[in-house]
Amino acid sequence: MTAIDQIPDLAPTAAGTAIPRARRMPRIPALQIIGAVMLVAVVLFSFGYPLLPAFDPYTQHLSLALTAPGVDAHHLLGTDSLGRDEASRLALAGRVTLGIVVAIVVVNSLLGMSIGIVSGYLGGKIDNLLMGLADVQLAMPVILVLIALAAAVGPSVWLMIGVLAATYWVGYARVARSVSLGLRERDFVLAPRIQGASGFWTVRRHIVPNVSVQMLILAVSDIGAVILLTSSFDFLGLGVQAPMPSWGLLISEGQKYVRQAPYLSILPGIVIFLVVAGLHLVSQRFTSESTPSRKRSPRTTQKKGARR
Amino acid sequence: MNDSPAETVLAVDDLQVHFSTRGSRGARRTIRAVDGVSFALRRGETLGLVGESGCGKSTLVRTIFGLNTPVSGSIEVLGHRLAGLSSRRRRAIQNRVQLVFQDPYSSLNPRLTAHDIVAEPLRIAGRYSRGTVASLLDDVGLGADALAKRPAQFSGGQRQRIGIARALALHPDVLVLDEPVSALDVSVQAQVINLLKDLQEKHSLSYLFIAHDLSVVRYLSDRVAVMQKGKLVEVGSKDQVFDAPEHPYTRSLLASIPVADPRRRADAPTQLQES
Repeated sequence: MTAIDQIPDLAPTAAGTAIPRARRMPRIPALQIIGAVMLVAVVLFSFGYPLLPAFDPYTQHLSLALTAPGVDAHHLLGTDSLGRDEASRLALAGRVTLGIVVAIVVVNSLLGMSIGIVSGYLGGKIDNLLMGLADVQLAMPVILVLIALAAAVGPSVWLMIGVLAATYWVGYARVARSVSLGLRERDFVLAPRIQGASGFWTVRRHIVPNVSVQMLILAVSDIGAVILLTSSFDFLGLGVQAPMPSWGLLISEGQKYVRQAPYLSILPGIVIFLVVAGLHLVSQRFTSESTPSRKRSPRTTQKKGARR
Repeated sequence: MNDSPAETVLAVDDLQVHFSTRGSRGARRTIRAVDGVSFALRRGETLGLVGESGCGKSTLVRTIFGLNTPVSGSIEVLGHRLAGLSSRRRRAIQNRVQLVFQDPYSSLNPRLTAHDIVAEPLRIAGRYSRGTVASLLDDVGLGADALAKRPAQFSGGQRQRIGIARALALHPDVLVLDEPVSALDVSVQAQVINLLKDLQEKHSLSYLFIAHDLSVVRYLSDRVAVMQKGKLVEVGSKDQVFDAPEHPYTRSLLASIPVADPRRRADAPTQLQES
């Protein structure tokens, strides 16, 4: 009786030797959960708060100007120098800043990916030309260019987006180039070429899917840097223009009242910190995930176990 | 070479492929990777091409598939000289020759399913149908359950079968087999080689079988060509090359085949090898 009962117990233990290894895989380190919570909190606030009836970023209540957070029940995060609701302005600034940043990153990654793939896949003179262009781009002082253009045509959001979109593709192009350079000589890319596929076919089916994963990883870790950059431009008055708020602009506006109302600079500072640090923590997971040796080994062990 | 009425499907004539490199002082140096190679492959025949790494086998293969441009010489497929054809006609002729890659791990796109991998040449040629793909996979001994799986879910031997199915998709006359079993386990090698033999009979294929494993070459080939430093140093029937090699390089290649039985070894083994 006992001997028979033990048999079903034995089988799972023997098969289960691989389980602790597989279980290790989905565990997400605590830091990344914290990062995700930080990100989600800011995004929820920026896009959720405007749905509430309290949302009113533009109406001025001059009698309530510079109310500290927590004093007035209608303005939980206080008001600015014109008596506008700080919580509403922060939320709107979040939408504005995140929208601008995502637009810049999307344009940059698509542009960089296209240039990099063309460069890496075609090689030769075109490669030299495009990568030379990339080097020139890197040597260009972006801030000076933006200041010069802003002086010439007047500062605006669109100018900032345009200048950043035209200059920040270099990082993407270099990664896309090196990935497609490596892929070009791989057998699975040679196979369709031998079988008569056009260059466009080969790139679309075999190069783009493999490169775009890398681009996504790069983009996620780049968003934080671009938030900091656009915020600095807004702060300098080169980007978003008042009365539209952005995080950088809010800090800049609050700077004048830093003694009477330090929260005006501190609150947007905290929000920027939360997003940038949160993104950094989350993107670390992406970069370690993309390392093939780490990604592949637990998967293959699982599959082998399943096939048996 | 024996006289045979069989049609020549692939003929390479005095092919020269050179690469120029620049030395440290800027002096140009020309490397003759393929240096005057000529051979003819007849329908239904297997020509084994052997030679050490770096002797120009891969360059020869790449040139046959148009990935390198020859300096001189010609490649003829079914009597058509490739160099003189319009690009459209050339494509049609070129597709009569297909390649099976050496490494089944890098020759299949890990993101695609077996169905999509085998379907790709058909889609390129505009001849895709789901039934064709299934019958191609069936031809190489893979069932319908293989269609939706990705390369990572297959063993090395199964992957190589997918690679063979992909090469067969456009009904070629010639398969160039670039060391098709050297990346596989010995037990799987035999299965794949037997599959290749069956397919050859079924579709009356000609094989250009490139290998450095001489025992596999001997089993599969009708004739054997030995390549050294870009030249074919010896071409002859299998028995002729293996039993009465003329060229010293062929003899040294043959002497390097490991023999399992120490008493049958040609050269006296040293103590170190014994232990």
